[in-house]
Amino acid sequence: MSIPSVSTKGKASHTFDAIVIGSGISGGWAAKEFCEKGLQTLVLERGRNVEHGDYPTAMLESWQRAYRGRNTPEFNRANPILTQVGAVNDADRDFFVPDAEHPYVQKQPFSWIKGYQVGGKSLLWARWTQRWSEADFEANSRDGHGVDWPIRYRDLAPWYSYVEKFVGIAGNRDGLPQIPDGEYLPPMEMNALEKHLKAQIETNFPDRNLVISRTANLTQQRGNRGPCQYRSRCNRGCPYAGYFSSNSATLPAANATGRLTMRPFSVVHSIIYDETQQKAVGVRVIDTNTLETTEFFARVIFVNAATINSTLLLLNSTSERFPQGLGNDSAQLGRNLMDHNYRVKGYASHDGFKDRYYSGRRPTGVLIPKFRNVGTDKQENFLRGYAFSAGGMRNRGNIGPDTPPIGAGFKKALSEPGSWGMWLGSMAEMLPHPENRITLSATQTDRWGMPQVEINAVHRENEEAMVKDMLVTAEEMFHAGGFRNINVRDSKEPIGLGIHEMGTARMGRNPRTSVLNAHNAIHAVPNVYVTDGACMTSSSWQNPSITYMALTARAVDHAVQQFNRHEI
Amino acid sequence: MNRRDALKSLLTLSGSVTVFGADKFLAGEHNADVEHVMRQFTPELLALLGEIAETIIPATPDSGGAKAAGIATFMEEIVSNHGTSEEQRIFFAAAPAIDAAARTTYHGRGFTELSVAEREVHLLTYESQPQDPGYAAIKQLTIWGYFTSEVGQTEALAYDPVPGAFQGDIPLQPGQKAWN
Repeated sequence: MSIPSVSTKGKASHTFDAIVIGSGISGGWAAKEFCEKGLQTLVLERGRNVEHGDYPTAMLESWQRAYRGRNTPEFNRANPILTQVGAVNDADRDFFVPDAEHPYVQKQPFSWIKGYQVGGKSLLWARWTQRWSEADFEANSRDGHGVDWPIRYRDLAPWYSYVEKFVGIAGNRDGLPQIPDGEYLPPMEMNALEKHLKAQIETNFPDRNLVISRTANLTQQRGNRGPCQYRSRCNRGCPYAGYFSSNSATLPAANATGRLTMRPFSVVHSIIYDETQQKAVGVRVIDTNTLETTEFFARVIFVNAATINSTLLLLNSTSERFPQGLGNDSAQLGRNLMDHNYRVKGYASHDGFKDRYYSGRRPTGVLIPKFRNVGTDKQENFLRGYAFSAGGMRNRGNIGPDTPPIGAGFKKALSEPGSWGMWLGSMAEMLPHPENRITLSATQTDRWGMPQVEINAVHRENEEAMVKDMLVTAEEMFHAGGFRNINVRDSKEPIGLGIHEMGTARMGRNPRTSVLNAHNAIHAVPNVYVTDGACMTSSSWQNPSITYMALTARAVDHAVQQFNRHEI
Repeated sequence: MNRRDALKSLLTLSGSVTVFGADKFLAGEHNADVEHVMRQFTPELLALLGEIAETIIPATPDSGGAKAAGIATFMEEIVSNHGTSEEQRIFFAAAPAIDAAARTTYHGRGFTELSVAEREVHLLTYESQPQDPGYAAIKQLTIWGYFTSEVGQTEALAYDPVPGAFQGDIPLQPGQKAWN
């Protein structure tokens, strides 16, 4: 990837056809699509470069890791927010942003988890890739919360297929309306306990299902990527390209066209709006090494900085025409912040299947798709619904009442497969609410001179009612499966730890009540598109990345048509 | 289950969670004067700790034990860097007390002078409840350190760093060890 010289101030050398702000899961897709459709494309990434393969911890074993894989005491003390994420450890923490690097104001508890490098959080994502359903796009219009989505499932379905074919997704075609079937590689297998729970759930609760999660790990080789080696060390970066990331997939494809320019260490300060042309003409960039400001220009700009930073950038892009932030005629910019509610967590053990085991480490789990308010089901106490993620495993250590407490017998028992256990977690929809919002601090800035973000969001009546129901349904499914030591609880963890923050620049039909149109362009600024989580009009419950990818590919297709017709 | 929960679960299985050890060590308490603490790990203490740990997890025909896994050095690193001063006090008192008790029981012979069978009998006296917190700490560190060591991972467990394939539901073979 070519990197332009900071000292080059000539406007021509700073002018591209398209600028993409951010190189994570949606920015990577924007870059690939623009480059492959013939546009000279500049990608601005605030963090450092990470080339595919540059994963220094990928092959480390426990005894080679500091503190045997635990975070150091210094790291834990310095990062009370980040270390709430169970996945953060010494082998992947260089892909997460330390708490002190980017401060923000918590008006209510909100854990903002960030990944600042080329590839963004696409290196860290859970890789679960369920499609949204018809009902999910209709939900706002049916119950009146939020505004109506300007698109329906049929608008996005071909784009889901388009991105799935490139990404490579292992999955089963389950034929369930809540999770429409897509373009799948062979699924990964369930283990004995998961098969058992599936049978018990589907027998005892006819409205519920348990399926293997559709997952962006390659069960078959795709080009020069994969297949997955079943190490389940994805978060360190995969030298086998066994899972989809910007680094392993979209950015190399973009680069192969010869039209990609990648500029790391680039925080975008604001989008430059031209009052005469009534469109955006470029961006102001802060170089994070020198803190110098540079301008870059293009006819089309894609904002893919991840939800909160995308909206921060728009709010910070003020002009005579847009004193409250670019495209903020509706005063909705910053509002309707959502995150999936992962508060309910469970664990239970099972005494059976002592004669069964597995081989390899499957990098995904099983899914109990949404069953409340599906089809003819109508819940009295809450709108929308939730799913559960889950996974079975055999614990290490086969300690019984007769196991000696020390010595050779003790060692042998600790080395054997032990009892089976199953974890479970909620994935619940959060309603869009205008008072769940982000604003910019009037007084506090960050090290790059940008205003700090103030985050003010809470779970409200509907979310709390859903938690109560999830506690009941999780427990009753464990009971139906014959589990013991059932522990289902409300962790009460802060919003944000789903790491699915979305909303704040919603799509909609009406410019008076929404920021973006049906193609993700700002209603009043047709050459600026937002296709990351900020665009979301509602949250549904599915892990959102595959939807961002589909929306992005669709939006680029629209933008390039406009570009070629000289309408932008 | 994250690693912290998994470790707690393992330690619970081993019957060793009492008032001291896993939770505090895992909480990442930090000692500001690491050098001072490390100086208390004399060669004699390290040797004694190694023999106590080897009695808890001995070498067996299929795999090395705690000494081969360098558990005494591991304890030195963890206790010096992570232990609170109270935990360190308990920890440092534990091994000498075990040694002194051996001298009383075995007519002047210290722990390292006992036969393997005598060492095991001696340590079993510490397994009665409520468990001595110093002994519990040594045992917990031994288990944790051993099963994250190269010896523990590659010899005591079924080591498979790059499986290359996944089989979700297969019969457990006789003698199958747990995956590392």
